[in-house]
Amino acid sequence: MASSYFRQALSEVKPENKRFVQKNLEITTQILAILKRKGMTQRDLAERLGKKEAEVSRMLTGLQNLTLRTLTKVEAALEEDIVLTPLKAHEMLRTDGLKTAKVVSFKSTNIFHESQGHMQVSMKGSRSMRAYTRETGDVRRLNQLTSFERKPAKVS
Amino acid sequence: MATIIRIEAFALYEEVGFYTIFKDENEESETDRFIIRFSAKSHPSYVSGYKDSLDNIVTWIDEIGMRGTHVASLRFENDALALPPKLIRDQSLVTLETHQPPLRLYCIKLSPQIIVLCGGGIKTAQSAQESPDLSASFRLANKVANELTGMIQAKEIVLEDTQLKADENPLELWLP
Repeated sequence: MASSYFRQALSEVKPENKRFVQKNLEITTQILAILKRKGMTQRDLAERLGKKEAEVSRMLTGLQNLTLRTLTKVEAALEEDIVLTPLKAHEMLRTDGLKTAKVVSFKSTNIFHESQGHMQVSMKGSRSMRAYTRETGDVRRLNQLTSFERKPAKVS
Repeated sequence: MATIIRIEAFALYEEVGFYTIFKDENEESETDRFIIRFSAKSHPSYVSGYKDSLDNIVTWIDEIGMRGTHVASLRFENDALALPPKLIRDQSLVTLETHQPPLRLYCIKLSPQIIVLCGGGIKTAQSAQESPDLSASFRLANKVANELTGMIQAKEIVLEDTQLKADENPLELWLP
């Protein structure tokens, strides 16, 4: 059940306006997920950006016209990508010679070590690789996995 | 003279239940009056030039209904500080605000899954109090938020997932 006026207005939304809000919410979802994973608050982000908390809160409503400049400032403050073009994402995978995979379990003989901020996993009988996992359709590096997901187990 | 507010369902989604308010004997809810004003070209109250802003707001409601409120930050309305002391500041009153041109719709977030949509209007000044088109909607939304919060605390209203439940149906509030 929905208000008829609301249904009517919804049916008349311009495609570009629909995309604007959808993309906006995808970005806010990403930022809020990063904050949660890093144990940061909106206030923490505001401090890093040199803004008031209210300004950050307003930025994350899903209705603000976020400029590229603002997005890149937030990316710099969080030290993470928020927006990746499909080409860029593909290039990152291709350049590193990686394959995309779900989180797999590993034999206890595997060696884990950190290199330049990324986990490198050596699998017995195969070339070393960085394992990627998919979360809500986004590719993440091993160092972005939750502690639960990073627990090694038997190889599959 | 008391204002009678009726609370009814506006749009019920899987993740969020949106409700709205009807003031006194009005046939349209405050939210519908907001939508009509900026979309219905044949209506006497129609104001042109706000289609894009209205598009954004109705799309936001639709998307949040499907995705859940956790995907966005619902901003508490700081203008509550400008209210007279007798009106208690309520943390549940939030603002949906668009720009170019600026529209505001006031909402009451009762829980992560229940939002009561109120009215709104055109923002022409820095604050709601200073915007002639917003001040009445803002005050009404704040009074409703205050009343609903009290009723929840007194367990006269129960919030169950996306449903707002009360003994009387529809729920009526008498505001001073």
